[in-house]
Amino acid sequence: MKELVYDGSFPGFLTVLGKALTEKGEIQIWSEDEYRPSLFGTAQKVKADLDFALEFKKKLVFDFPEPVYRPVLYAYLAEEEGTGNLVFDFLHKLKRKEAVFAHRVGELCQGVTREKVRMLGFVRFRKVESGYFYASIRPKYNIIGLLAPHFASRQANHQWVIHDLDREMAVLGREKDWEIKPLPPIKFPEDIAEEEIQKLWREHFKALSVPGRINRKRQNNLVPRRYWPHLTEKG
Amino acid sequence: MELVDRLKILTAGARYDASCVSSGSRRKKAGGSMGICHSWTEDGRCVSLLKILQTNDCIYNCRYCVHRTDTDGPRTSLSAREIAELTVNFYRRNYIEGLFLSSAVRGSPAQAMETMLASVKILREEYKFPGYIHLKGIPGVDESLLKKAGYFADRMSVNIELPSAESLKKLAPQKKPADIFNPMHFLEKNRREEKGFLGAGQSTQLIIGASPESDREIISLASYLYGKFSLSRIFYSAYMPTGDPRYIPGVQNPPLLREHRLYQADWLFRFYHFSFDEIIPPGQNDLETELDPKSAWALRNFWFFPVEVNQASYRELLKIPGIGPVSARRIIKARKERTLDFSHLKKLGIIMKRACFFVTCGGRRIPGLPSDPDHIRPFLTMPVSRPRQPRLFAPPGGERF
Repeated sequence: MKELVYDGSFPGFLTVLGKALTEKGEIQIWSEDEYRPSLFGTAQKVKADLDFALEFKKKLVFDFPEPVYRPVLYAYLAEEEGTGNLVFDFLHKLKRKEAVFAHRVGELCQGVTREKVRMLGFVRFRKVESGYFYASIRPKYNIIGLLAPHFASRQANHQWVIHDLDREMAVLGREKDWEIKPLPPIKFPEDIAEEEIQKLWREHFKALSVPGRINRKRQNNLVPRRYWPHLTEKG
Repeated sequence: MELVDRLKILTAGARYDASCVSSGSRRKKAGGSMGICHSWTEDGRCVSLLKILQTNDCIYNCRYCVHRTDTDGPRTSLSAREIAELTVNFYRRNYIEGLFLSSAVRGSPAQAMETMLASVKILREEYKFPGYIHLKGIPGVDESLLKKAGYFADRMSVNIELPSAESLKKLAPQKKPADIFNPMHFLEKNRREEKGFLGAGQSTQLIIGASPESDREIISLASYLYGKFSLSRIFYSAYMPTGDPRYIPGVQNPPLLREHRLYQADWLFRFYHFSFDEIIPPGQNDLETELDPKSAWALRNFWFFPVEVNQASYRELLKIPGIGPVSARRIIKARKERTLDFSHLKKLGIIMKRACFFVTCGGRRIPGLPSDPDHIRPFLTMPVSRPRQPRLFAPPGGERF
């Protein structure tokens, strides 16, 4: 059995998948963090190769029965243990025209998409003293990069930050551009007008629900508890 | 009155409007045209717009309405600038996708409409607001005002509220059917003629349970409206006992289940290719309450089943209870890869507790299941009362359901 180990980055992930698909025999793919040396395997380090990764990305779009770049990317962002093997299995089956519906990769892709779509609504910006708009989130999956394009065009006329507190990463946006940078969890002092506006929003939100129709179960299903601490109307 | 208090009153006044949609706009703006839900209130309804009244001060005395002249709640309003600033501030913080602006009729319909127009004009022209705007059309206003409104707004709605001319006469004597249908007609005409006018179309709302119309009459009106005005949506709103009890007696609990069944019927009509007669057969006045309209159709038309999932067309798949547009498409895609069996159906997200009675996989049914409608029915109907854990200490005033 051959074991391929990549550096944990996305280009590395694409490189190792691209290489693995050309190999014969049984293969396992691990990231450096996941890898535990086994007794019988022969581990081989695969260096991330940006050009090769870009080539392989094109292949994912054009050379498979259907475009599969998105499932591969989303499965990677799900950050599940053993993603490399899962995605490899998925691509391998596709190549041999085996059935892949209800594959774990599809499920992961669905889960990541769902959280992304939810988060487009649940991100709450606060204006901070230095004048930009800051939002902190704790998503299950690594989705800030997926949120960025939406907010880059939506919030184009001011600077904004979406901060993933668990991964200590943030998207910084300014004038339609954005970049992802490491950012430790720090507290930013709020702008003076902020408290008043948040109060208006909370009161509006409360007054919106019709007293005779209260349905907390439905609310809890649609707004899972783990998102509450970061929602202005709930926190 | 403080801004926050006025906001509370005017929000509470707008909450009986069920519309929450922020999608479908053709406006060329950043972020595309999808609807985004930003939160859900305690009654489980989606929040995507700042839903608010310009004023709750009304000259009309519609018997069903909270703002009718013979109620004595506080009357207040927000200025055009206040509305615009609230919207922009909420939008920037990603609380909302846009504004849903409605109004009671202060002074005259034209005056009320003009104040609303002033608000959205500030928003669009001064603040260059790119978000979604839903404007309420006030019955009986001038066409020139509607035309202006249609350029600012993505969607407009003129609420019919009462599903028949007779009820309208009885419960809203100051409004005439023509006051409602003429604006709808005018908006639809302009929308067809001009691209960019009212990109997300128009919608309307019907109140359920304040007047005696049957489900049959309501669905028939709905299918007429979808056909005639190409409405984007019709909202059904269970009547909350906020009206004048002298005119609308006997409403204790809002008919929420009936509202739900009507929405299900509406969906069958719009997304499942069901015809009016299929949803509610001739000779029947109301939808069944204990069974969803699709399952009810399936039991009435049992000759249609079982359907072989490996061969059925998209439209045939859509007729199966437990299968919707999404799962029907999934089936069609998956069965190209291999012949499907029951375990696959489950993985594809089909609701097997309903679908199992109506499908075959490779010519086989699931063994042991009843195969005539009368015996299937109990499996499909909702449990009337769910088993509950008995309480050790009964709450004061007895058990509430």
